Amino acid sequence: MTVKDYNNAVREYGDHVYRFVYRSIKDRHRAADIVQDTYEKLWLCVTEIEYEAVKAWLFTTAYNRMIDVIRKDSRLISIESYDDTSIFAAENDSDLNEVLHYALERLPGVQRSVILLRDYEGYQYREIASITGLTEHQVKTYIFRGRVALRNYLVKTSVWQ
Amino acid sequence: MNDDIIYPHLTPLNDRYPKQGDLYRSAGDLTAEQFDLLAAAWAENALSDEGLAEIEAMFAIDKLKEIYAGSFRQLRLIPCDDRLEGLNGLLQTTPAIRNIRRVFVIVLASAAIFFTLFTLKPLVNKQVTLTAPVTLPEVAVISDAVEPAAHDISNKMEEAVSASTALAVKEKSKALYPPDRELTARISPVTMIAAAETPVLLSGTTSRELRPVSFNVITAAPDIPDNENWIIRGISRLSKTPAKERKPIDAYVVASAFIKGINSVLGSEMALDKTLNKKGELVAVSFSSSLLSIKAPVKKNSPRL
Repeated sequence: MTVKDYNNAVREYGDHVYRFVYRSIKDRHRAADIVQDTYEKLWLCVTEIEYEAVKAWLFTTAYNRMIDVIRKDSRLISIESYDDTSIFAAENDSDLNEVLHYALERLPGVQRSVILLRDYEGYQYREIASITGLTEHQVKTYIFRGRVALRNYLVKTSVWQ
Repeated sequence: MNDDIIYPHLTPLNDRYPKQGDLYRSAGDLTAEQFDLLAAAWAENALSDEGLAEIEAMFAIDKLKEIYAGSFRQLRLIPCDDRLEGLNGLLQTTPAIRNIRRVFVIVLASAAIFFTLFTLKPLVNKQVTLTAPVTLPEVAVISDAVEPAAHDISNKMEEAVSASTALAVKEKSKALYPPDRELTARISPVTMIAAAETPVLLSGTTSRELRPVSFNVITAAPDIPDNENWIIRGISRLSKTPAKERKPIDAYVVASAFIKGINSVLGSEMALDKTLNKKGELVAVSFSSSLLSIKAPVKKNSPRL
């Protein structure tokens, strides 16, 4: 990959990687740091990576970096720590996409990540498995369970009857 | 004895599960959670042919289940407009672009410096012209007025003081700057300013004892030859120090210094020598190195090296 390809990768995928990380950890600063680290790593091995594979490489590296950050940071809000008041606050939200994103934050980290990769980037199960280091079967299970949880949340918050 | 005694083994009995049909399940037996997972997979188009046949069979029985499963298709996240601030900061520049930028910056800075110097040059010259003759002689007048206030001085006294002051200044100017020195331009402002000086009256002395205070000698600005570099001229004028005497550049000295520099950098042993005649004139220049040795005569009409 040339410097030009690297810059293209920044322009083309920078926002995508950031969006994926930000929606996964819900922290803008940390997400920006992770994206920056990811591109720093890419720059260090820029000649070894083909441009065709750079998108998957970026998501894989960002995902792994994100997992490291989550493990190190105990303050990260987990699904169990959400209180009910925040859930009720979204009851009147009529925008389905916003409610879905709100519900997404309540999913376990892995489910959240695989659903984001699936919906945001349109990756196949096999590609998601490659990025996250899971098996294809695990990816499917996480996605299906995540969908069910999202639906249950919508029903619970009376957005869906 | 036979082999059965030596190698005994179990033979399956004819035990059978009482009601084998109880183990069979139909699609209708799935729990709600199981059906949800199946419906989610169906909405993702991830079911195998067998699984697809089963769920379609269920839909055929209950249409509501198909509507229910269809609702999973709506559970798709649409990307939000999240943008990374400072994304351009991640961009890298190629060496060629970096060099072009450097050259551009240097050219721009040089242009700015030259522009500043050219803009300030007239101002500097003007300042030098203005600052040179500003050292004016101090003129003091001593009178016998008891009170130094201006109320006691009559018009006549003022006229006398002005006239005497002007006279004294003129005489002093003539003494300091004879006409042959062509310092008229520098003296004339002195005369004018001295005439406008306010007399200082000191008590205890008579007005007849008016006497001028000694003049400060005005030193002329150093003459700088017009063919001098204008930057050096400007700096020397600003610092009011005379510029060094200009000497013609000796090409031999420059060349030998250049060769010495190369020798020190590369570690080579090159040398440049000149041959002089008895009068001390340059006759020939010789260059010698480990690989090459040249001696070139210098023509008399050629420019001096």
